[in-house]
Amino acid sequence: MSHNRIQKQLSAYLDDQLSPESRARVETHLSSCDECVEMLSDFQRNRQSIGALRHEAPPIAELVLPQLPDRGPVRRSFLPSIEEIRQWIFRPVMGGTFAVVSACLLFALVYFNLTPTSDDSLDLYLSEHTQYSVYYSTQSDGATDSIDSNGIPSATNVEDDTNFFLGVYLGD
Amino acid sequence: MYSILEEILPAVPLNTQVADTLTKEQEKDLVVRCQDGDKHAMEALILHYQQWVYNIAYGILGTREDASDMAQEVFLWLWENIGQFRFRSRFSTWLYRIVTNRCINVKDQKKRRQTDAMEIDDSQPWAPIDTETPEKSVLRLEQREILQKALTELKDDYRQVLVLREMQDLSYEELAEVIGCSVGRVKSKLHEARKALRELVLQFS
Ligand SMILES: [Zn+2]
Repeated sequence: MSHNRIQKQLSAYLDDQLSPESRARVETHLSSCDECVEMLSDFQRNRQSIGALRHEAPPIAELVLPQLPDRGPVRRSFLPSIEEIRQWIFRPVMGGTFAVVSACLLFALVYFNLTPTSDDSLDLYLSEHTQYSVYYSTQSDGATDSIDSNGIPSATNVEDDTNFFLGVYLGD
Repeated sequence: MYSILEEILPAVPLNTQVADTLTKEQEKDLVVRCQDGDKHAMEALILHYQQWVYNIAYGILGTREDASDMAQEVFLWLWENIGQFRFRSRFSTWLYRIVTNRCINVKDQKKRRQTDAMEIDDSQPWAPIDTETPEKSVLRLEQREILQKALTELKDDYRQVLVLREMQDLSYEELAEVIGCSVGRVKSKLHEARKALRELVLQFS
Protein backbone atom coordinates (compact mmCIF):
# COMPACT_ATOMS: atom_id res chain seq x y z
CA MET A 1 0.00 0.00 0.00
CA SER A 2 1.19 3.50 -0.74
CA HIS A 3 2.75 5.87 1.76
CA ASN A 4 -0.20 8.28 1.43
CA ARG A 5 -2.82 5.65 2.16
CA ILE A 6 -0.86 4.35 5.14
CA GLN A 7 -0.52 7.88 6.45
CA LYS A 8 -4.29 8.29 6.46
CA GLN A 9 -4.54 5.25 8.72
CA LEU A 10 -2.01 6.37 11.31
CA SER A 11 -4.60 8.04 13.47
CA ALA A 12 -6.81 4.94 13.53
CA TYR A 13 -3.67 2.88 14.17
CA LEU A 14 -2.85 5.00 17.20
CA ASP A 15 -6.34 4.36 18.56
CA ASP A 16 -6.14 0.65 17.80
CA GLN A 17 -9.08 0.87 15.39
CA LEU A 18 -7.61 -1.15 12.52
CA SER A 19 -8.23 -4.74 11.50
CA PRO A 20 -5.30 -7.10 12.21
CA GLU A 21 -4.43 -7.13 8.48
CA SER A 22 -4.39 -3.33 8.15
CA ARG A 23 -2.46 -3.09 11.37
CA ALA A 24 0.17 -5.47 10.04
CA ARG A 25 0.40 -3.49 6.79
CA VAL A 26 0.88 -0.23 8.71
CA GLU A 27 3.58 -1.80 10.87
CA THR A 28 5.45 -3.17 7.85
CA HIS A 29 5.36 0.28 6.27
CA LEU A 30 6.50 1.95 9.51
CA SER A 31 9.60 -0.21 9.60
CA SER A 32 10.79 1.46 6.40
CA CYS A 33 9.30 4.99 6.46
CA ASP A 34 10.76 7.58 8.79
CA GLU A 35 8.22 10.20 7.81
CA CYS A 36 5.29 8.08 8.96
CA VAL A 37 7.09 7.10 12.18
CA GLU A 38 7.64 10.76 12.91
CA MET A 39 4.03 11.62 12.26
CA LEU A 40 2.80 8.82 14.49
CA SER A 41 5.07 9.84 17.33
CA ASP A 42 3.91 13.47 17.00
CA PHE A 43 0.30 12.31 17.14
CA GLN A 44 1.10 10.35 20.26
CA ARG A 45 2.95 13.23 21.92
CA ASN A 46 0.17 15.71 21.18
CA ARG A 47 -2.35 13.23 22.52
CA GLN A 48 -0.43 13.05 25.77
CA SER A 49 -0.04 16.83 25.96
CA ILE A 50 -3.77 17.39 25.53
CA GLY A 51 -4.47 14.63 28.05
CA ALA A 52 -2.19 16.44 30.50
CA LEU A 53 -4.41 19.51 30.38
CA ARG A 54 -6.96 17.60 32.41
CA HIS A 55 -7.09 18.68 36.01
CA GLU A 56 -9.23 18.71 39.10
CA ALA A 57 -12.44 20.69 38.65
CA PRO A 58 -13.49 23.32 41.19
CA PRO A 59 -16.36 22.18 43.46
CA ILE A 60 -19.09 22.60 40.85
CA ALA A 61 -21.69 20.73 42.91
CA GLU A 62 -21.18 23.05 45.87
CA LEU A 63 -21.58 26.07 43.63
CA VAL A 64 -24.61 24.80 41.74
CA LEU A 65 -26.75 23.11 44.40
CA PRO A 66 -27.69 26.29 46.35
CA GLN A 67 -28.79 27.86 43.05
CA LEU A 68 -31.23 25.09 42.11
CA PRO A 69 -34.83 26.25 42.50
CA ASP A 70 -37.36 23.82 43.99
CA ARG A 71 -39.58 22.32 41.38
CA GLY A 72 -42.01 19.48 40.81
CA PRO A 73 -41.73 16.91 38.01
CA VAL A 74 -40.66 18.41 34.67
CA ARG A 75 -42.65 17.95 31.51
CA ARG A 76 -41.14 15.00 29.69
CA SER A 77 -40.77 15.50 26.00
CA PHE A 78 -41.48 12.68 23.59
CA LEU A 79 -40.68 14.60 20.46
CA PRO A 80 -37.11 15.08 19.28
CA SER A 81 -35.67 18.50 20.05
CA ILE A 82 -34.85 20.98 17.30
CA GLU A 83 -31.18 20.25 17.89
CA GLU A 84 -31.72 16.52 17.33
CA ILE A 85 -33.69 17.11 14.13
CA ARG A 86 -31.00 19.46 12.89
CA GLN A 87 -28.27 16.93 13.60
CA TRP A 88 -30.28 14.22 11.91
CA ILE A 89 -30.88 16.21 8.73
CA PHE A 90 -27.33 17.46 8.49
CA ARG A 91 -25.74 14.04 8.78
CA PRO A 92 -23.79 13.56 5.54
CA VAL A 93 -25.77 10.42 4.69
CA MET A 94 -29.09 12.16 5.30
CA GLY A 95 -27.93 15.19 3.37
CA GLY A 96 -27.11 12.99 0.36
CA THR A 97 -30.41 11.12 0.58
CA PHE A 98 -32.29 14.38 0.91
CA ALA A 99 -30.56 15.75 -2.20
CA VAL A 100 -31.28 12.61 -4.25
CA VAL A 101 -34.95 12.47 -3.20
CA SER A 102 -35.50 16.15 -4.00
CA ALA A 103 -33.80 15.74 -7.38
CA CYS A 104 -36.11 12.79 -8.18
CA LEU A 105 -39.19 14.73 -7.11
CA LEU A 106 -38.18 17.71 -9.19
CA PHE A 107 -37.53 15.51 -12.20
CA ALA A 108 -40.89 13.74 -11.82
CA LEU A 109 -42.66 17.06 -11.52
CA VAL A 110 -41.05 18.47 -14.64
CA TYR A 111 -41.45 15.23 -16.57
CA PHE A 112 -45.16 14.79 -15.90
CA ASN A 113 -45.93 18.44 -16.51
CA LEU A 114 -44.21 18.56 -19.87
CA THR A 115 -45.58 15.28 -21.22
CA PRO A 116 -49.20 16.02 -21.95
CA THR A 117 -51.78 13.26 -22.14
CA SER A 118 -53.57 12.68 -25.44
CA ASP A 119 -56.73 14.45 -24.28
CA ASP A 120 -54.71 17.54 -23.46
CA SER A 121 -53.11 17.58 -26.87
CA LEU A 122 -56.47 17.19 -28.57
CA ASP A 123 -57.89 20.07 -26.52
CA LEU A 124 -54.85 22.16 -27.26
CA TYR A 125 -54.99 21.33 -30.93
CA LEU A 126 -58.67 22.15 -31.21
CA SER A 127 -58.44 25.40 -29.28
CA GLU A 128 -55.45 26.62 -31.29
CA HIS A 129 -56.97 25.72 -34.61
CA THR A 130 -60.35 27.10 -33.76
CA GLN A 131 -58.63 30.40 -33.11
CA TYR A 132 -56.81 30.22 -36.41
CA SER A 133 -59.99 29.23 -38.21
CA VAL A 134 -61.92 32.10 -36.75
CA TYR A 135 -59.06 34.48 -37.43
CA TYR A 136 -58.57 33.46 -41.02
CA SER A 137 -62.20 33.20 -41.89
CA THR A 138 -62.60 36.82 -40.84
CA GLN A 139 -59.33 38.03 -42.39
CA SER A 140 -59.29 36.40 -45.79
CA ASP A 141 -62.18 35.66 -48.04
CA GLY A 142 -61.44 32.02 -47.95
CA ALA A 143 -60.47 29.74 -50.65
CA THR A 144 -56.74 29.96 -51.32
CA ASP A 145 -54.62 26.93 -50.76
CA SER A 146 -51.53 28.93 -49.92
CA ILE A 147 -49.30 29.58 -46.95
CA ASP A 148 -49.39 33.20 -45.83
CA SER A 149 -46.40 35.44 -45.20
CA ASN A 150 -46.12 34.34 -41.55
CA GLY A 151 -45.88 30.71 -42.48
CA ILE A 152 -49.25 29.96 -40.99
CA PRO A 153 -51.58 27.89 -43.10
CA SER A 154 -54.54 29.82 -44.31
CA ALA A 155 -58.10 29.06 -43.34
CA THR A 156 -58.92 26.29 -45.77
CA ASN A 157 -55.82 24.32 -44.87
CA VAL A 158 -56.55 24.70 -41.22
CA GLU A 159 -60.02 23.31 -41.61
CA ASP A 160 -58.74 20.33 -43.59
CA ASP A 161 -56.14 19.67 -40.94
CA THR A 162 -58.73 19.87 -38.22
CA ASN A 163 -60.87 17.28 -39.88
CA PHE A 164 -57.91 15.05 -40.49
CA PHE A 165 -56.64 15.16 -36.90
CA LEU A 166 -60.10 14.83 -35.47
CA GLY A 167 -60.44 11.69 -37.51
CA VAL A 168 -57.16 10.34 -36.15
CA TYR A 169 -57.97 11.15 -32.54
CA LEU A 170 -61.49 9.88 -32.59
CA GLY A 171 -60.41 6.76 -34.47
CA ASP A 172 -62.69 7.53 -37.30
CA MET B 1 12.11 -2.62 14.55
CA TYR B 2 12.33 1.03 15.47
CA SER B 3 12.88 1.82 19.09
CA ILE B 4 10.41 4.66 18.81
CA LEU B 5 7.75 2.16 17.76
CA GLU B 6 8.15 0.33 21.02
CA GLU B 7 7.54 3.57 22.81
CA ILE B 8 4.41 4.23 20.84
CA LEU B 9 2.94 0.73 20.95
CA PRO B 10 0.55 -0.43 22.09
CA ALA B 11 -2.09 2.30 22.08
CA VAL B 12 -2.79 2.68 25.77
CA PRO B 13 -5.79 4.67 26.93
CA LEU B 14 -4.49 7.76 28.68
CA ASN B 15 -7.35 8.45 30.98
CA THR B 16 -9.28 6.08 33.09
CA GLN B 17 -12.95 6.63 32.50
CA VAL B 18 -14.94 7.88 35.42
CA ALA B 19 -18.35 8.27 33.87
CA ASP B 20 -18.67 4.61 32.95
CA THR B 21 -18.72 3.46 36.52
CA LEU B 22 -22.47 4.18 36.54
CA THR B 23 -24.46 1.33 35.03
CA LYS B 24 -27.16 2.14 32.50
CA GLU B 25 -29.81 1.32 35.10
CA GLN B 26 -28.26 3.53 37.77
CA GLU B 27 -27.98 6.34 35.26
CA LYS B 28 -31.61 5.92 34.22
CA ASP B 29 -32.78 5.82 37.83
CA LEU B 30 -30.94 9.05 38.64
CA VAL B 31 -32.30 10.82 35.57
CA VAL B 32 -35.89 9.75 36.28
CA ARG B 33 -35.61 10.96 39.88
CA CYS B 34 -34.15 14.24 38.65
CA GLN B 35 -37.03 14.64 36.25
CA ASP B 36 -39.37 14.13 39.19
CA GLY B 37 -37.67 16.97 41.07
CA ASP B 38 -35.38 15.03 43.44
CA LYS B 39 -32.44 17.32 44.30
CA HIS B 40 -30.43 14.50 45.88
CA ALA B 41 -30.46 12.68 42.56
CA MET B 42 -29.34 15.88 40.87
CA GLU B 43 -26.52 16.21 43.37
CA ALA B 44 -25.41 12.66 42.56
CA LEU B 45 -25.48 13.43 38.83
CA ILE B 46 -23.43 16.61 39.27
CA LEU B 47 -20.87 14.89 41.48
CA HIS B 48 -20.58 12.14 38.94
CA TYR B 49 -20.21 14.29 35.84
CA GLN B 50 -18.63 17.52 37.09
CA GLN B 51 -15.05 16.50 36.25
CA TRP B 52 -16.06 15.54 32.75
CA VAL B 53 -18.21 18.54 32.02
CA TYR B 54 -15.66 20.94 33.46
CA ASN B 55 -12.70 19.43 31.61
CA ILE B 56 -14.49 19.29 28.25
CA ALA B 57 -15.39 22.95 28.73
CA TYR B 58 -11.81 23.73 29.72
CA GLY B 59 -10.46 21.93 26.65
CA ILE B 60 -12.70 23.89 24.32
CA LEU B 61 -12.84 27.29 26.04
CA GLY B 62 -9.27 27.40 27.34
CA THR B 63 -9.62 29.15 30.69
CA ARG B 64 -10.47 27.72 34.09
CA GLU B 65 -12.84 30.56 34.84
CA ASP B 66 -14.84 30.10 31.64
CA ALA B 67 -14.88 26.34 32.16
CA SER B 68 -16.20 26.70 35.71
CA ASP B 69 -18.90 29.16 34.57
CA MET B 70 -19.86 26.86 31.73
CA ALA B 71 -20.07 23.78 33.95
CA GLN B 72 -22.36 25.59 36.40
CA GLU B 73 -24.49 26.94 33.58
CA VAL B 74 -24.85 23.47 32.06
CA PHE B 75 -26.00 21.88 35.32
CA LEU B 76 -28.44 24.71 36.02
CA TRP B 77 -29.83 24.30 32.51
CA LEU B 78 -29.99 20.56 33.05
CA TRP B 79 -32.12 20.90 36.17
CA GLU B 80 -34.78 22.80 34.20
CA ASN B 81 -34.51 20.87 30.94
CA ILE B 82 -33.76 17.28 31.90
CA GLY B 83 -37.23 16.41 30.59
CA GLN B 84 -35.76 16.75 27.12
CA PHE B 85 -33.71 13.61 27.63
CA ARG B 86 -35.68 10.75 26.10
CA PHE B 87 -33.50 7.73 27.00
CA ARG B 88 -32.64 7.10 23.38
CA SER B 89 -28.89 7.29 24.00
CA ARG B 90 -26.62 7.12 27.00
CA PHE B 91 -27.21 10.08 29.27
CA SER B 92 -23.46 10.81 29.24
CA THR B 93 -23.29 11.21 25.43
CA TRP B 94 -26.36 13.45 25.50
CA LEU B 95 -24.74 15.57 28.20
CA TYR B 96 -21.42 15.82 26.33
CA ARG B 97 -23.25 16.92 23.22
CA ILE B 98 -24.93 19.70 25.18
CA VAL B 99 -21.63 20.80 26.73
CA THR B 100 -19.65 20.85 23.48
CA ASN B 101 -22.41 22.63 21.55
CA ARG B 102 -22.77 25.28 24.23
CA CYS B 103 -19.01 25.79 24.44
CA ILE B 104 -18.73 26.25 20.70
CA ASN B 105 -21.65 28.69 20.70
CA VAL B 106 -20.08 30.71 23.51
CA LYS B 107 -16.76 30.77 21.66
CA ASP B 108 -18.46 31.95 18.49
CA GLN B 109 -20.21 34.75 20.35
CA LYS B 110 -16.99 35.77 22.04
CA LYS B 111 -15.15 35.81 18.74
CA ARG B 112 -17.86 37.96 17.19
CA ARG B 113 -17.82 40.38 20.13
CA GLN B 114 -14.05 40.62 19.97
CA THR B 115 -13.94 41.40 16.28
CA ASP B 116 -16.82 43.85 16.72
CA ALA B 117 -15.26 45.79 19.57
CA MET B 118 -11.63 45.06 18.68
CA GLU B 119 -11.04 44.26 22.33
CA ILE B 120 -7.88 42.43 23.24
CA ASP B 121 -8.25 39.20 25.14
CA ASP B 122 -5.45 39.07 27.68
CA SER B 123 -6.63 35.98 29.51
CA GLN B 124 -4.18 33.10 29.21
CA PRO B 125 -5.77 30.18 27.41
CA TRP B 126 -5.01 26.70 28.74
CA ALA B 127 -2.81 28.25 31.43
CA PRO B 128 -0.55 25.68 33.06
CA ILE B 129 -1.65 24.14 36.28
CA ASP B 130 1.47 24.36 38.43
CA THR B 131 1.90 21.30 40.55
CA GLU B 132 5.36 20.33 39.33
CA THR B 133 8.99 20.98 40.28
CA PRO B 134 10.36 24.25 38.83
CA GLU B 135 12.83 22.59 36.39
CA LYS B 136 10.26 20.25 35.03
CA SER B 137 7.69 22.95 34.72
CA VAL B 138 10.01 25.28 32.73
CA LEU B 139 10.44 22.63 30.05
CA ARG B 140 6.78 21.77 30.21
CA LEU B 141 5.77 25.40 30.07
CA GLU B 142 7.40 25.86 26.70
CA GLN B 143 5.75 22.78 25.23
CA ARG B 144 2.49 23.80 26.77
CA GLU B 145 2.64 27.32 25.38
CA ILE B 146 3.13 25.89 21.91
CA LEU B 147 0.22 23.52 22.40
CA GLN B 148 -1.96 26.35 23.70
CA LYS B 149 -1.19 28.51 20.71
CA ALA B 150 -1.86 25.64 18.34
CA LEU B 151 -5.14 24.78 20.05
CA THR B 152 -6.27 28.41 19.84
CA GLU B 153 -5.64 28.44 16.11
CA LEU B 154 -7.39 25.16 15.48
CA LYS B 155 -10.86 25.02 13.91
CA ASP B 156 -13.62 24.57 16.51
CA ASP B 157 -14.80 21.18 15.29
CA TYR B 158 -11.22 19.89 15.25
CA ARG B 159 -10.68 21.10 18.81
CA GLN B 160 -13.96 19.50 19.85
CA VAL B 161 -13.06 16.07 18.50
CA LEU B 162 -9.53 16.26 19.91
CA VAL B 163 -10.67 17.29 23.38
CA LEU B 164 -13.24 14.50 23.50
CA ARG B 165 -10.78 11.90 22.25
CA GLU B 166 -7.38 12.88 23.69
CA MET B 167 -8.57 14.41 26.93
CA GLN B 168 -11.69 12.43 27.73
CA ASP B 169 -10.83 9.27 25.82
CA LEU B 170 -14.27 8.78 24.29
CA SER B 171 -14.59 5.77 21.98
CA TYR B 172 -15.22 6.27 18.25
CA GLU B 173 -18.83 5.19 18.74
CA GLU B 174 -19.35 7.71 21.55
CA LEU B 175 -17.70 10.40 19.44
CA ALA B 176 -20.05 9.62 16.56
CA GLU B 177 -23.02 10.02 18.86
CA VAL B 178 -21.81 13.23 20.47
CA ILE B 179 -20.78 14.89 17.21
CA GLY B 180 -23.72 13.48 15.26
CA CYS B 181 -21.94 11.72 12.42
CA SER B 182 -20.87 8.24 11.33
CA VAL B 183 -17.98 6.30 12.86
CA GLY B 184 -16.25 6.51 9.48
CA ARG B 185 -16.48 10.27 9.56
CA VAL B 186 -15.11 10.30 13.12
CA LYS B 187 -12.11 8.34 11.89
CA SER B 188 -11.32 10.76 9.08
CA LYS B 189 -12.12 13.86 11.12
CA LEU B 190 -9.84 12.74 13.92
CA HIS B 191 -7.05 12.16 11.43
CA GLU B 192 -7.57 15.60 9.86
CA ALA B 193 -7.66 17.22 13.30
CA ARG B 194 -4.48 15.52 14.48
CA LYS B 195 -2.74 16.44 11.26
CA ALA B 196 -3.84 20.06 11.55
CA LEU B 197 -2.72 20.26 15.18
CA ARG B 198 0.62 18.66 14.33
CA GLU B 199 1.24 21.19 11.57
CA LEU B 200 0.44 24.09 13.89
CA VAL B 201 2.66 22.71 16.66
CA LEU B 202 5.55 22.27 14.20
CA GLN B 203 4.96 25.77 12.89
CA PHE B 204 5.16 27.31 16.38
CA SER B 205 8.09 25.17 17.57
ZN1 LIG C 1 5.24 6.53 4.99
